[in-house]
Amino acid sequence: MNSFVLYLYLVKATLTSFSGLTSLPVIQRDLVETRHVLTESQLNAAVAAGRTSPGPIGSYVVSVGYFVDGIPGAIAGYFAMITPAFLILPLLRYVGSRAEQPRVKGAIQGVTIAAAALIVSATRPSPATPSPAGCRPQSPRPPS
Amino acid sequence: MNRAPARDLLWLYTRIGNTTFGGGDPTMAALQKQLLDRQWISPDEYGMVYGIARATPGTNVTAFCAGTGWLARGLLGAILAAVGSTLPSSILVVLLTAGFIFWRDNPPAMAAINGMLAAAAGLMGGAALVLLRPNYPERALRATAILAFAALLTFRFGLTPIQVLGLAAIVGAIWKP
Repeated sequence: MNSFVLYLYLVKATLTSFSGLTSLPVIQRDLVETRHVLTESQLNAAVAAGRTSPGPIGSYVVSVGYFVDGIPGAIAGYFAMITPAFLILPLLRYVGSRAEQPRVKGAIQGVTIAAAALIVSATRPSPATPSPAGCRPQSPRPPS
Repeated sequence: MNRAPARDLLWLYTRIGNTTFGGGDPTMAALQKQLLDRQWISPDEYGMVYGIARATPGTNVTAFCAGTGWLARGLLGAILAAVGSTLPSSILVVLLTAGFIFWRDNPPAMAAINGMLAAAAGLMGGAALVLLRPNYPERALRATAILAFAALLTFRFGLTPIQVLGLAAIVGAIWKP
């Protein structure tokens, strides 16, 4: 598969996800089931590589790219991983320019306080938290 | 707030982004202290970027780095922060992919990784306190109510982070400080 096409598939997955592994079902459907350029066990190994290395778990898409197309694929995966991050700039500009309004100020404070609770909750594994629909369990599965 | 020198900024994000295990939250917690100590961003800005990064598609921590880098040093800061925090670990991911089987069957390597995950938990507790501190004692009732509400939704009802933050934004906008 052409690296640019691979980039488009991977960026489609990262743009429609909101945390580390929620892009997984999209990648599985597109690359494993539809295009057959990746196997299930390669996908599992990619997730494990992303979790084993330091930094964001979302870096598993770099590993996916490497499995599909070697180094050019890994570069495509890298750009697919960081592209959506820059969407935060217009969002910040929009919110920041209104930060002095009392309601916006209140909303930002509410988010900040809730963030403290979320940070604490992230320190423990929480079986009560359902994974998003179709998302895999957190631990890598044995290769099938 | 101070304007961040480009080289210091790149080094900070490279160092923190690639030496913290366990995903985004420990990384954002470690960056918090560094960014506030240098006065590159304020605690309110940290909270704002944290919340908006959750609502940005893709990897939260990369969006967080781009957002805080932008506040500290404009567009150049955003690019340096996003690339610095991801490139070395991505290269490592490629190397790990090549040698994955060896690592998975290597108990000492897995034990070392688990130890680093445990250390990250303590770091995150401290980060939560820094976020809360500006609200006490003046707005204690409001802050405690929102905190309890968020904790209840997270621990008890298993809502996703994005849902919890969205509801907290609504409560904060209605119940003004």
